[in-house]
Amino acid sequence: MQPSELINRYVNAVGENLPKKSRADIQAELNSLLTETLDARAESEGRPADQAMTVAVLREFGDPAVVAQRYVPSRPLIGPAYFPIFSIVVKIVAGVMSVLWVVGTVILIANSDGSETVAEIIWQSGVRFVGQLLANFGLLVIIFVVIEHFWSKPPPTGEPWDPVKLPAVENPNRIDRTDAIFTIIGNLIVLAIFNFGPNLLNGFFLQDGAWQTIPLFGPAFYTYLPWIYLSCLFEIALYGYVLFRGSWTRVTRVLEIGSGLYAAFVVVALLVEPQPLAAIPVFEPLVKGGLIIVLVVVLIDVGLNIYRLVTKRWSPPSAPELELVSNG
Amino acid sequence: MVKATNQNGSAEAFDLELRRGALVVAVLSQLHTEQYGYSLKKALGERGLDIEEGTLYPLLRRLETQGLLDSSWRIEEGRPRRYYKLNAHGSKVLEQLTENWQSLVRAMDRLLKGKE
Repeated sequence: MQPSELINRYVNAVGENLPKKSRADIQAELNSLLTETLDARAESEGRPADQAMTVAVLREFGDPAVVAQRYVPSRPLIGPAYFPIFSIVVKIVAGVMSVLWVVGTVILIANSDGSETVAEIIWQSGVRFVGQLLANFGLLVIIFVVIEHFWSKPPPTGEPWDPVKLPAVENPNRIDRTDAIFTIIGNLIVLAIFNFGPNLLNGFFLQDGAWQTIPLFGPAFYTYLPWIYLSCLFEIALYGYVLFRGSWTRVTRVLEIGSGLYAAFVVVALLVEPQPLAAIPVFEPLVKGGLIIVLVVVLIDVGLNIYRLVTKRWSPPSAPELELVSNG
Repeated sequence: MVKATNQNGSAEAFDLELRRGALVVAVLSQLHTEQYGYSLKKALGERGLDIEEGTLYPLLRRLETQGLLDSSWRIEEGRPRRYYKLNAHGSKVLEQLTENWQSLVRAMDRLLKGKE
């Protein structure tokens, strides 16, 4: 393994246990110090740095968890040993609660007797959701504080550890080509079906020994087609561009979030449409159910993209970049 | 947490505690002029005080956070380096710590010599 890759992994492993606020700066400094130490070692030994030499240097620096602990010496409510687990649990709980909230709100809207407007239902449900979210977060904090103080893991003791076995650093901005291609193809299929093969969306049933068809969607649904086309075309263009470029950027992430919110808006508009969306009443629950599933999937995707945008971990920034930011 | 370091009662464990406070004085004493982490480690080593990287570099950060040091990134010899230097407050603290240290050394000297 290349020395730079080993150093990247080590720096990343230390960063995993550091608070986000100071993480990038400490990682940049650590990267610089490791590189400097390794270069000096190579010079003193009169040979180029290799894996064995890098491993030796990293061992001298110490176990990443121990080093991180030294950078964060004051005892927090939840220490570095449990914080990664706490962070994952909070994200899972928040994610599950968000999905349940969206589904619950859509059901409330769908079953509304009209005494409250959609905005009122969303507002009331949102207030309850925030309250529950805070209560659950507080409960998790209490649980982890108790664990931290009564069943605290012993601090890392400097047991032998292997730098080579540290996990590789993932680039969160690298595009998943399969996902991008499927997204483009999926949107093309939707466009193709609505434009050239609307019969594919018909419901089929057997009557008097012959197959009969009934259109799935009613006229009200088709009034939303331009909105749906716009969403599909935008997704195709965006994913085509990102595929061509090879990675996500902040701008394309924001555009993707905007595109997802637009799609969610169209789906909600369809769900609250007073006219029946299906051609015949028996298909109405099927259409609404399908739309609710689409809404949940879109919102999860939006949530994930917001998470990636907010928490994306770049490679440690270089010193000049940091200087520009701090002067900035 | 601190207890864990000397639970085994070994000389190494006590030595770690002994050095902990001294390291702060040692590090501050070398930062009247600007130093980056690696050069400071070398400077301390050349004066007989070897200190682990994993201890020194976080300590620099902590001293900066505590308002004793100022730091800035610069590119020197084509490398990005973070330079640390005592600030006015750090100089005053070092002055006080030096006095305390010398007083402690005298006291310890008397104590240890008294035992001989």
